[in-house]
Amino acid sequence: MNDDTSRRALRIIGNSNSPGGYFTEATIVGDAVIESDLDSLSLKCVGNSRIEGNLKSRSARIVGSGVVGGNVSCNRMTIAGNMEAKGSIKAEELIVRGGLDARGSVKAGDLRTRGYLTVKENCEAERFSSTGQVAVGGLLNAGRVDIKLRGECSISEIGGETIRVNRWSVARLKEMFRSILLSNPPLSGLLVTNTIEGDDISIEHTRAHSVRGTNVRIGAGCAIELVEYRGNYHKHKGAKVKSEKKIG
Amino acid sequence: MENDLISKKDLLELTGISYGQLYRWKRKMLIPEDWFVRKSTFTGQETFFPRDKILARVEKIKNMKEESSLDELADILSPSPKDIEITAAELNSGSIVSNAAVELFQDVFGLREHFSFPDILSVYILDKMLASGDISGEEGRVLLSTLEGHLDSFKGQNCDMIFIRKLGTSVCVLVSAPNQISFDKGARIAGRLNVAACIEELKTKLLNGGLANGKTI
Repeated sequence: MNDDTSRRALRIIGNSNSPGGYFTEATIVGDAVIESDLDSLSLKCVGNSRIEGNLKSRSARIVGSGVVGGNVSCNRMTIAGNMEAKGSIKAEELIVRGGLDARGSVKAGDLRTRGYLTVKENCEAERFSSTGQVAVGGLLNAGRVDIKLRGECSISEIGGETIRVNRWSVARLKEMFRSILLSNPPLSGLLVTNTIEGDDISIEHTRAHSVRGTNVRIGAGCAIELVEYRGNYHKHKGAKVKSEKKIG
Repeated sequence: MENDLISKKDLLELTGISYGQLYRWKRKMLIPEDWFVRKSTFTGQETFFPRDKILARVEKIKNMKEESSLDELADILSPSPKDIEITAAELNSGSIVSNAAVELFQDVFGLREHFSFPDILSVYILDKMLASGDISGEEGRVLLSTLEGHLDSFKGQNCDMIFIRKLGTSVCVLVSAPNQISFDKGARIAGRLNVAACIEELKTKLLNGGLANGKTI
């Protein structure tokens, strides 16, 4: 039933319901409700879709808006519109350009976001990069974390090998112009977190309770209660660190 | 449950691993989620681990890392069954389980040419229970039918197998672990095994015995 040869294409243009099932290519242009699981080789959703069950697809592209009632499992998923997943999300490559609201956990190989990413539970990736707004309720665990701040990001905990947090360069440029021309208060761009733990940490504009790592660089605009390091430590003169300890 | 905990900081200092390694192992599911115990201390929230378990696990990962990749390691340590199939003759060769256990299994489910991983696991658990003298051969049948019928529903989840006896009647129970479970006074726990630990042992044995080589589907 679910081998590739017995699959058909699913096309919904206009307003329609589908009981779900196995498909080759699923295209949704209008408003659609998929009443159970949807398993497709590729999914393209330009309109509004609601999948009441689980979504499984080799590739998925959400340009309109989508709600998945269950879990999502994709090789490659691009969200240019808005998506909400009530369950967990698993993807090899997950790209967010619009908004993603994950009520469960997210596990990805590559996670790149330029939009709004909200994860209620833990978020895991081999590589995580963001130039948007991020809110993670649990632990953000990634081999490489690269966060370009834009607006306020809040992540309960960050853990990984290499962790970089700095302000988005365009924002930095804008801020320079603003402060020179309009003497406005600097543009926000802030990360609020409890703990950051990693091997190689370099952060800016971060408010954290504790930062622990091997090599730690605390940059401009940081306010940290406690820093623990084993190797090199560098603190920007504009950063506030309440206490710092060399371990080992 | 465990009173003997070790803090994350002490663990790193003791074993010489880095934060990055710990987080990577967690991502690869080499360290189970339920070993991360959150506790409030005067410095805020801290993470603790069950001391003996985590130290043994870190040692194991460090030792095995040279031979196998992290993904292979995750495969061995994960509680979800691996795609292995071995023939009856290989299972009978006696290096993994005793012949008595295999015979009992075949008595219940009929003669088989090939054993899938769940089958091997059932035989393995049966063999352990028989070898320790905790259960009799007749009770082994009860055990086998419980495992056959319900172990599947715990897929990928840690569970305990508990054998209870009361007034000459024996009952086999599968409960998700870690969990607190209590019985009335007349009941006696004849035997208790952690299924995830059994899977880990069995996979290691299969790999070391060379039986799984080239037989992985």
